[in-house]
Amino acid sequence: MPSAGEALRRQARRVSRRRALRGKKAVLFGASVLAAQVKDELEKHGVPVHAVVDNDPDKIGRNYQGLRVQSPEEVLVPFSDDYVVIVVAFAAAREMLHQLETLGYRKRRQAFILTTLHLDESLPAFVRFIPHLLRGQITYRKLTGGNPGSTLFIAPYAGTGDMYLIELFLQSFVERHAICDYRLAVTSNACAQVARMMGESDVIVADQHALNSVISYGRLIRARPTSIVVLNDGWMGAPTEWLRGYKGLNFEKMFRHTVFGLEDEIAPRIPVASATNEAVLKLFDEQGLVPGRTVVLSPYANTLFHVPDAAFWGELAARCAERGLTVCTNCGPTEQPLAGTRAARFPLSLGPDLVETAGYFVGVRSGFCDVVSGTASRKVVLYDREGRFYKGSFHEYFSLSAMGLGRNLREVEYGDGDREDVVAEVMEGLT
Amino acid sequence: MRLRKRYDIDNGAYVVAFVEDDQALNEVALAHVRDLVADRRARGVVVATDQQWVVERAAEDPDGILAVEVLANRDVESLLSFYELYQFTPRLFFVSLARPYGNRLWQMVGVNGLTLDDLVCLSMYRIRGWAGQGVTCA
Repeated sequence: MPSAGEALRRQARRVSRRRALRGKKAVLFGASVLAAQVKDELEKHGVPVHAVVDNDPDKIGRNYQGLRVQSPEEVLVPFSDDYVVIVVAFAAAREMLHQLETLGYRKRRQAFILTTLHLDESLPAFVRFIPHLLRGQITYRKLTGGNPGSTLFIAPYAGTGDMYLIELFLQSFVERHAICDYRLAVTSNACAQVARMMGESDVIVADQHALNSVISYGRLIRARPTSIVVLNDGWMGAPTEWLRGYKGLNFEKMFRHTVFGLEDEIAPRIPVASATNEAVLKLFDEQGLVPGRTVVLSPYANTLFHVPDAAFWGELAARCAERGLTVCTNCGPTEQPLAGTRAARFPLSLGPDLVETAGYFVGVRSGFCDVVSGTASRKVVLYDREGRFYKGSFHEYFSLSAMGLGRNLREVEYGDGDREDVVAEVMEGLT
Repeated sequence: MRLRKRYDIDNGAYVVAFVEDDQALNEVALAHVRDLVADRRARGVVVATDQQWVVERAAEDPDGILAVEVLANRDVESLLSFYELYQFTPRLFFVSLARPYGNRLWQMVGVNGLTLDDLVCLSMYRIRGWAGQGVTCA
């Protein structure tokens, strides 16, 4: 079964080839995280998105992937045959289509629905689901070694920030429930690195679909609460998902309360970073970086939102160099360091020690910022001002300070056109 | 399948299943049916329940309710079991803090001032415009 994102991309590719779209202005109806993938896919296939509309009052007026979200009526009234509307919808697809029809837009002529595949209640659909359950049973047995008394923790999402948060509370949960024997299953090597860095010994990397099938199997057998524990605040339709960002329920609080059921008084277990790690010192030596006088720039975030452009980073790197700091770019194997900076390529597990040794860090908010948040170095973390995550702004939901993880930290929101101010604020944060 | 056909659920309607003997929760959920209908621009909802109290209250205030379907307890359990396997429709909502299996909403009552209204409107009904005291419509 393809993931929701893959399924939508496939449909977007199909729609982009339709004759009805030729010479028309595409309007995306639905400003969701998944719809961003549709926009990306449409644009890759020569269908630029002219406008984005949504019925959600929280989203209207905000920036979404470089466009301002408007209400459907604002854009689509009066009816214009120049528009073709791409609806990205889940539960409310029919209502959205009905809304468009009342405005004069007809299905398959001016309106196309893209939705994730879901199984219905028919017998053929149920039969199609059975192999998934069998796979779940087999995978569960394999992962637990057939030991019915053990606990299988599943971290189904590949975000390193999620993994870091999980590890802040996992041991408290284990102690509270007197769990003696457990294994942690994750879906990426990066997550496994974070987990091991934070002290986990029995970590296994597994395919996400296989882990989803284990979760389904657990539902089928109504597994006891500590035999299969899903370490996510909204996985596979969990209703807690929709509380994200509401009434100050940020990233940390969602994990603390929905995943672990831990009170606010339980302190997170923040790992201590070291400035004397030999592997890090060797890397510093090789790259000509000065311990305590180096700024690590982290521009290549795997983030949901708009990131500052190369000009911003270039100017920031120059200003840091003027101040007498050596400057390096945190980059992956295929990424290039920013102009005038040195490449810092290192395993994620070395991240905290590297930033601790450097003394300074500037990065776009991503999972890496969580991972290095416990270091004593001076840090500036950047948040897209227009970014929304469920009921909160990007900053409200992911603020490290609000999560209690903000040691020596300055948080800066950025938007289009305020480069100079943001650079100045970042430099102030590094002082 | 029977409910889907009888009430033409796919055509702008929803089923709200009241599966708990929790009067406070059920009362809140019934009170917000009209918010659900308004948010989704829906025709209405079908209330499905094995709770006599819910049947009576729904009859007193039928705004937004297309019909009340009285189910036997074993039918409610079967519906839950099936839904736990996979979410076979996005048009079915359960009024419960603990079910279907894996629902941890009960852990959230009172956290950061979360009320039953919040949990019903945001998590159970997924009303996008819910802002604490009512629905903000676009």
